[in-house]
Amino acid sequence: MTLGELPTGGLYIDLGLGIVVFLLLLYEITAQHRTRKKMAELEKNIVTLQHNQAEVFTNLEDKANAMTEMLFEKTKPLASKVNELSKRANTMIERSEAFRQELEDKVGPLQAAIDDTNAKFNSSHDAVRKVVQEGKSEIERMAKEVEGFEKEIQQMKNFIREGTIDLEL
Amino acid sequence: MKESTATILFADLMNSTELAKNLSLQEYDDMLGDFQDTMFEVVSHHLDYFAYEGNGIDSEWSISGDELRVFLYSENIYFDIRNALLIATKIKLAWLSSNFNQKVLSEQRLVSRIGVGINCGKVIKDVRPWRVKIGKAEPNIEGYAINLTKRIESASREGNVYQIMVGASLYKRCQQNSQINVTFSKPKSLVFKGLGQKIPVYEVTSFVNFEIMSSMPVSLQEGLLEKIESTVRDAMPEPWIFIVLLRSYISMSNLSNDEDVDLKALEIGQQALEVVEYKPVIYNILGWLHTYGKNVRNLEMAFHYFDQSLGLQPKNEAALLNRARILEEMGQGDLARHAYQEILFQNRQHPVARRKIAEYQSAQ
Repeated sequence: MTLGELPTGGLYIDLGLGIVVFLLLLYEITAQHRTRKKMAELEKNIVTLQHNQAEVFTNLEDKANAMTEMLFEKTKPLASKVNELSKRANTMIERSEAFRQELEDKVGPLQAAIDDTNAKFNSSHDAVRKVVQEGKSEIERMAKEVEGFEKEIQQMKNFIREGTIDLEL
Repeated sequence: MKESTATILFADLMNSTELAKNLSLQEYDDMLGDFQDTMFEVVSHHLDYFAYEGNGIDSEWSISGDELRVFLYSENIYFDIRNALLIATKIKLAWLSSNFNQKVLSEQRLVSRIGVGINCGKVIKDVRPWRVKIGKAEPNIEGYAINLTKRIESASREGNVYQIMVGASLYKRCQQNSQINVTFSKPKSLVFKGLGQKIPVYEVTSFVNFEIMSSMPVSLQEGLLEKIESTVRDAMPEPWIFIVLLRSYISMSNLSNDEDVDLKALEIGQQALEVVEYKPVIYNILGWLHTYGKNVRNLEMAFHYFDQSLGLQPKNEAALLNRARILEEMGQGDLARHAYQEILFQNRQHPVARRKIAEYQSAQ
């Protein structure tokens, strides 16, 4: 049914409704247009971003490669030096091991003799220490005795002195 | 029966009967308890200190009521006499500083005194069968000398210096031995009940011995000097205390460098000159302090005091010796020599005077 075919009694209402529907359609069309336009812009931006990203990745890869290459170039002489040192160290370890073995062969009997002497020395040292300790106690005892004797002599001296004073009064 | 020569000492509280009348039974018992405890402390400590074995071997002693008896028979009579004199002086000193007498002094009353009688003589040492039966197997001491000593002790009330009376036997022995530095009064002839004749009794007028204070029991030594010092400040101090105190100051001065001791000794010495009847010993003490006292040395003063002593007793050997030494120190060689010769006139065996005269002769 068209607008012309609408019943006359509701003419104005129908007309109003028709205008509303028309305006809604118009708004929808406009909105669709705007949306499409925005989407196109977005797509365009996305493409630009993707392009830029690829470019950044490419640059980064280049830089990394350059860096690796540079590092490789720089560490190349060092690595050879390290290798050389490592070889030398190994040689030294081998030599010292041989020397240790040689020394062990020579020192073994000597060590046994030293251990034996050490044991004998410890035993003698203990004996001497015991004797010294005993001597020390004896000396301390004698010192106390001498001290007591000294006091006694002093007392006797005082006694004699006082006795002499008695006779001089 | 075993006969031996003993030195006998009797001591008892003077006027104890009168005291018993005036004191209540409790007060009298307190006094007697204090007396017996003091005697026990002094005598037991003294005999132990001077190595008496006791148990009837070389000594025995007992206390009964207000009386103390000591018998010494170590076979060295001079040792026993010296110890009897020491015990006599020590018990008098200990009783003067006892709680009982300190209380009496604080109330400003007259102190209770101890009278002492000492003599030597032959005694019989025997173990009586009846004593064995009662379980006392140690020998009993008996003899006339004991009776005589008891009577001599009763005369101590008439004394006015030490109130230590001795019999002729002990007096003679002390005259023979100058090592016991004791002097006596002139004899008093007394008639004692039951003896029928006059007996000479001598009073000790000075006894100089450094051991009186130094060998007192430890329990009695605390505060002893202060107590004795306070006694001489009393209005009526007993003369013998001055001699004991001054001798003690000399020991302190000899062993320390305390100026106060010398000054105190000089002060008490001056006081003693007014109280002590037998003055030569006080003059000698004052002279000694001025000669050897580290802080009060004054040879002129010392000479003056020894001269005073010789004025009273021209044969006083101690004063003669000290005077000779002072003259020597003053550079008066001739006078010193003369003084040493004077000593030899009195005592030809005097070792110091003999040596000095020999030195002078070899120097010529």
